[in-house]
Amino acid sequence: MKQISNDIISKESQDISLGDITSPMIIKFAGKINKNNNEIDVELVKLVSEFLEKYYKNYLYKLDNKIFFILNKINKNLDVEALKRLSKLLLVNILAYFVLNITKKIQNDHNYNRENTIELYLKNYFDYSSLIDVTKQNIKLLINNMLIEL
Amino acid sequence: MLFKQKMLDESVIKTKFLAGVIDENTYQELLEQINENYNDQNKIHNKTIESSLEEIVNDSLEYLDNKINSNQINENDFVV
Repeated sequence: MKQISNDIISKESQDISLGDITSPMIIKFAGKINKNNNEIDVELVKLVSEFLEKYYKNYLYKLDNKIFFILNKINKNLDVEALKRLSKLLLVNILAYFVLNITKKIQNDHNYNRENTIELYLKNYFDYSSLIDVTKQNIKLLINNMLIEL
Repeated sequence: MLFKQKMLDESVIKTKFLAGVIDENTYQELLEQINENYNDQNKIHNKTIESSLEEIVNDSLEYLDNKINSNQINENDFVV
């Protein structure tokens, strides 16, 4: 199996800055994941991503740190910058799948009305429990692919 | 749709209150009941964004950790 080297991590995460997670970053990765599916509502992907950035910025920062520390326990051999990139790469992919799955569900929800703001809808109407499992599966496949392809 | 139902219930009792069908004390009590009911149901049915993401992240890291520990990949795979 090929190794996940610092260089490869850097190459894979070239679209990721080491600063905060931002909505353009999530949108870009969602676009990469979904490049062959034209049925996704791109404007909705943007709205959901911006919602996450606006209301959960601090939480995403905490998650990023948590992933970093756990990856560091799993493997102490990577240098700090590689670990930062790997943790951010994993988190941004999780968020991209999360956003895509939310978007797909909203698109099929006739109760979603664009006259309502996305904030109102996601805070009060949306059932997140139904997309946790599918997102977990997406990420497991992603991890498998990363380990095989890199 | 819990929030929508809550808004609807509140609207109904407000109409009754304004029409004089129920007094203010009853109105306030009913409002509290609606809120309590909404909060209880919300806890049961709705996961929050935080708890959802937390669960997904934990699962992903556990999966990665297990793959390493079960030798499906070697720890050296991560070494430069």
